[in-house]
Amino acid sequence: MNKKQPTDKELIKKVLRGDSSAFNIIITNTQGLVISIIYKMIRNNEDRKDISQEVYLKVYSKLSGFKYKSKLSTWIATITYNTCLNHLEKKRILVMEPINDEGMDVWETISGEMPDDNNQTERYVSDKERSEILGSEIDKLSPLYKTIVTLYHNEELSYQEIAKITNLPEGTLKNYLFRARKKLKDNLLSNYKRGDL
Amino acid sequence: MKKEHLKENEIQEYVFDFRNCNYSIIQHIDNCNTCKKAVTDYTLLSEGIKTQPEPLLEYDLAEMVMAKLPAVEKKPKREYNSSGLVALILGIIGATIYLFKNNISTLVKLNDIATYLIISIGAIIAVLWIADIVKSHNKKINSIYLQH
Repeated sequence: MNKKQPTDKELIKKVLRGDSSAFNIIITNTQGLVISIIYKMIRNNEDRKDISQEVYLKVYSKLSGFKYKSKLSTWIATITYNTCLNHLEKKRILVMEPINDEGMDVWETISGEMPDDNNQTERYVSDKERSEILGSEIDKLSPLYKTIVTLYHNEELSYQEIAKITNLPEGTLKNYLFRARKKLKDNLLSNYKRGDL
Repeated sequence: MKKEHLKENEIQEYVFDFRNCNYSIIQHIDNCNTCKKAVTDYTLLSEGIKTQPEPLLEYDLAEMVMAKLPAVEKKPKREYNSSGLVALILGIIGATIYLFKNNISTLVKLNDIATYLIISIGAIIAVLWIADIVKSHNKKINSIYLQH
């Protein structure tokens, strides 16, 4: 028989009573999301390792202040995002490129001529290669774009949850997501043949 | 139905936010191969992102964090320090009152509003001051524990 999973509230109560094994469960339940954010925001592997530990130590020390206004995972993701932001600020790394003329093309009309016919890559591209190509194009995006794309498409979080994590207004978040996807699509289509992708 | 090709944001709205999508956009896409192609591009892109492999950890994060938890669990010591600090401040205030009891009793005997006003303002300032000292003390202690 399947044992019922403890709720966030039950886990938090246990941790606050000194049951550290409950904190282990919290880590296991949320580390996928935490790692996703850290890997998109931070490039250096050592820094990633340090930040992932720092996040959970912060969570542990702040747990008594959790107000149940959001899911525990969203709250932990917010701490993760803010910790990464602080790290990037210290290293003077921009969380997103400044928006200039790029802003207009989100609204540009789909042209009759799609950029698929002017391409070079004629060879067969396997599923694995295709995934690697997309992975490397995602990697070229700014930390913020990479993070929101991952949270929306991979983690399947709602706009509301992502807005809470990133502290962005929902409208701005949607706009950034539009830009990130368009940039990805344009980069892929200008560098690779449509049939290959 | 829209005659001209759709805008990028409308295409994305169709793919990612279909429920809020305008009917004229849906109608246009049904009848336009160019925009249909753009829809396919975004659909494929979304599927591609979803199938991206998740990062693999080469270390046991839970184990590493759990090993560091006892350092944070020294919280009771911090509470002891806070109460010690509060006791010290109250002691200083008490000693001050004791040393100047004659002056204070003269002031109280005057029994006018200005005296009570001065005493109550002084008491409020003292309480706020103590609270501020305890708060910043706790903050510093917390950050020290987190660093270790």
